Amino acid sequence: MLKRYEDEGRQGEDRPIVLLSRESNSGTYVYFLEEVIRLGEESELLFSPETLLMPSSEGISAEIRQNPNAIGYDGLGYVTPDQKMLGVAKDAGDPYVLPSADTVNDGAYPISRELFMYTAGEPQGAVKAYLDYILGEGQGLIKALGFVPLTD
Amino acid sequence: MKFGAQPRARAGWSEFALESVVRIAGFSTIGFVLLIFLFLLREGIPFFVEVPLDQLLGRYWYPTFDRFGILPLVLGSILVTIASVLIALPLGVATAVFVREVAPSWARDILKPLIEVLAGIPSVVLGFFGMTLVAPVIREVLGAPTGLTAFTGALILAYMALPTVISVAEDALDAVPKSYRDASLAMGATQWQTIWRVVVPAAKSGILTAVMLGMGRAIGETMAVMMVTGNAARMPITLDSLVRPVRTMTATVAAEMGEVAQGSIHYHALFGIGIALFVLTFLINLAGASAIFQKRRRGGLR
Repeated sequence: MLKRYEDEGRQGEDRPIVLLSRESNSGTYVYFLEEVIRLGEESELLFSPETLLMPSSEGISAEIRQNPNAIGYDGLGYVTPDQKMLGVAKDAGDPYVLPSADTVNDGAYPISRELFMYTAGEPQGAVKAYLDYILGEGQGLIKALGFVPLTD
Repeated sequence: MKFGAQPRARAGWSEFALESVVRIAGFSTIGFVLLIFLFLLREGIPFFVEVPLDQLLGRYWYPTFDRFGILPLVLGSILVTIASVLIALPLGVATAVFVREVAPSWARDILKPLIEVLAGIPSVVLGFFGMTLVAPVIREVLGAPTGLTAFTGALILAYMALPTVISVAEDALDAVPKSYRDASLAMGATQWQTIWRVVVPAAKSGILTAVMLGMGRAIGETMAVMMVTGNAARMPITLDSLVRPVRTMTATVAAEMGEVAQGSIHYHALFGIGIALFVLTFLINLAGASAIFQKRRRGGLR
């Protein structure tokens, strides 16, 4: 495990790495653990006990903003211009891709997941109206808030 | 007065009704505490049954991956609490001594209400203050990797425990008879010598009570601690642990209770932590109560 930025063997200051995560009951925590730390494979790997578990996405943003040692993950909609986003490459040698609505939708940015809505049977009445709203007008709101809308 | 003219039976009835209401109110407090305790036991005991002892005392708290070592959490709470008391005790006693023994009466009239106001600040406000203003300073001044540390939590908790410590310590100083001060001064002691060698030692048991009450306040505090300590469930056993993140028992329960599946081991584990916290707080209060008891037996003096 890397403990200091210098360990990466590249230019930059020698500083300790402060890991930030959401609480263990958050969906992002589980997704990040399964897809990034365990690389989507069966494994016993876990977050380091040194990882700071923040009670909210805003907690992560606040610490990222004021602490140059901190690195964390967060939903795309929580990222403000005063936070630096990092590009990610799927495999060694692949190009590094920054997250955005476009790179997520065309699959170039690898760390993303869908959110699903489930109904009991074919949606009817108010449920159907709600889902229609989400799939129609709501998509614009999702984009406006900085999250990734559905492609079609 | 027309009491005599009132029918006896009616007076007796209203008296009985009032007495019953007061009695029920009194006993219900005890009843509620008992019920809460029973509920806590019912929900928490399965944790201690289902999880083997060696795992329970393990170093890793990964409740969503069946690792239930509560040791980092217990030690985290103890570290933050003790550190906060060590900060609050000298500050609190010094303030109490100043307010009671040194300050002119106009200063006392300003200070005492201000201390009451201090007690009224909501913990979430202090937590936000700690997160945005204190944490960056701690990181830069102490050179810690992050400002969200056990020490930051201890500072905020000390601030929250201060009003309790000050007012209880002040009462204790107040209970020291004036004749003690007069005798000391008459023998040629300076004011400082009188305070340090006579008045404060005479109020020792009361000051101890103040510490215990402050400790009880600190160990149970949740919101502010969750916001400023970083919540990393690491073992705080290295020397630098005070300036590293820490996860307390209260913050764990508060952070995880919202999303836990009811009836799961994790759910019982959170109540198990509640039991551990209850026992710890009870022991502290017991120590505080025995100090008060001692004080009474000795007539308010040491």
